[in-house]
Amino acid sequence: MQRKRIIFSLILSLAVLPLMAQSSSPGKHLEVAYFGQFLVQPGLSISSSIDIQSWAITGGIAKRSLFVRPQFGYYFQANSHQSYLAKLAFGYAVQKRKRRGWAHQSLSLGIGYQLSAIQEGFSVSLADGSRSARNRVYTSGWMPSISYSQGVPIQPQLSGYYRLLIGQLFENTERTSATLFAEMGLRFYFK
Amino acid sequence: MNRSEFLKHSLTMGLGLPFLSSLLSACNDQSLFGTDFQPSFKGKVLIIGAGAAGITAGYILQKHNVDFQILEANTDFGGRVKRLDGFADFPIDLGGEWIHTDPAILSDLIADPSVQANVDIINYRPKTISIWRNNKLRRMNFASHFYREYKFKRSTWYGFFEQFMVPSIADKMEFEKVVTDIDYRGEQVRVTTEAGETYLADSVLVTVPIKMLQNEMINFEPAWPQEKRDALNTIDMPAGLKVFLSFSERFYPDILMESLTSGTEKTFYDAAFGKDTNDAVLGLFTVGEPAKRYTDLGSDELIIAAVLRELDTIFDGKASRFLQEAVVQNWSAEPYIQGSYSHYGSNFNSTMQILLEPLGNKVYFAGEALNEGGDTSTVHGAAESAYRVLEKMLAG
Repeated sequence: MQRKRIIFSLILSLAVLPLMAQSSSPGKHLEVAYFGQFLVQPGLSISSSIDIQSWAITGGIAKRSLFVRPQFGYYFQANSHQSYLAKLAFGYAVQKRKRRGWAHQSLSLGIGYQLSAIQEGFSVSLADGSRSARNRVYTSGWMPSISYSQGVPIQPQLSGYYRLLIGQLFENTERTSATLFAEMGLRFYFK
Repeated sequence: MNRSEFLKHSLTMGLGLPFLSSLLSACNDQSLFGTDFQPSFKGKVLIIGAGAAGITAGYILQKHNVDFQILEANTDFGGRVKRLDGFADFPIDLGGEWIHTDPAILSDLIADPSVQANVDIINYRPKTISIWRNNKLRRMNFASHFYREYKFKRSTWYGFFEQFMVPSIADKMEFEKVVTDIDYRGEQVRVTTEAGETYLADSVLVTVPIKMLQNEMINFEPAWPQEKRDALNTIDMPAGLKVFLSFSERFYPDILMESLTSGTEKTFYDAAFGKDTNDAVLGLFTVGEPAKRYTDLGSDELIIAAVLRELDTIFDGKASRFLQEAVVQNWSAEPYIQGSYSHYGSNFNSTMQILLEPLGNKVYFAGEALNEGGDTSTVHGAAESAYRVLEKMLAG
């Protein structure tokens, strides 16, 4: 029930945010996206980018920038784990003005910290098959990553984008694993 | 699909198959077989074989007050479900080990809300996975994201049947009864054993391994129709072997794979994964050609020596250095098993339908190879097949 409420609120905010945005130039923005590890472990990501340095080129129809992108992601696999990822990425972006708004591409390197609650076991009732006594353990680790994203304008203050992120999670010296996230969502520009 | 095949396809096809597999796994979360049927059958049923399917069939018949008897060729029940005690401080599955579906299946199989018991389950998701290829040990821990299997934490598949099904049918099981003939020409089916004992029943449920039927260890009178014989011979039941080695120190990953060839499997795995133990026990599970290379060696001692040589090569001699004890379960050498488990060819549905067709409406078939629900080659699939077949048999 709680999860449904959260999802409903997010959908509502997706509808309202474009109405609030007014600027027609690329500026500060907020990204809300589906965030899936290997596509099959679904989740949600919220991120933004802050320009450290930017250059307007070719008469203001394009902009290059160096940016820092804070990101918070959550993803899960039912009856297996829930994971939270906080990440900071540094990258290079190119944004171009199109008829309907701003298109963008970026490449970034990041470092994240992931915290996971893993369900290692449980009891199953022979009476009805229900699960109880779920045994959870918590793991955490650093995750350097590289990501590429591309976005296309939908409205002047709204673009759709996807981002692919490849990372290596270091939980301990024995347990390191490569991982791939696919992110698909919307970028809302603010004035 | 076994783990190796799954991983191979995952590696070669990218992300599509894991997604598909996840969907299929979700579909499996629902019980698809009936457990509450009302039998109209009046008569006696003879069950041949006391493996997962035979035990479950007896359990169902007992619940429905149908007269039955189980004949088992071996000295114990279980078939390819077998337990080893005393090797470590936890019981070891010498046969079927993993629960390849939602563990709620255990409740579905018991199908009795009055059974107030819980079974502790390991969410089997190995963390460290390596593959030995081209004489190099390579990590592939990312594959752990695609695992979705379960294991018993304190018990075993054998323990499950022993605790929850066998007590109600123990007095109906007869051991060391090697069935050699099934004659279904008359009104009743006549079953004869190697010792010359004869049993009569109104229906017979044959649950022996498919290899026993392929090798014609049981003579049917009249003989099987040619179509059924041809269908039977399209199923492969290759060699199968498990080896367990206990070590004074752990030096191996959770999973170490070698073979990724279709239809074969060779996996070393931490048998103590998720158990409440500090014992270091490494298991080897192998099926098909890799298993045959071991079973052809001829003795358990030679098999263990061969396994140790391989492990020493991979882990710089640590296997021999830390070895405490080893045990071999050679399923190919078991006279009433003779292999691992079924592998179907391309015509799964048509082959299954032909094989499930009863002989003379009196002789039925069940077992891990004969679950029309699709989960073949698994313990729960074998047990499930008993429900599916009995539902038809008892409906008359």
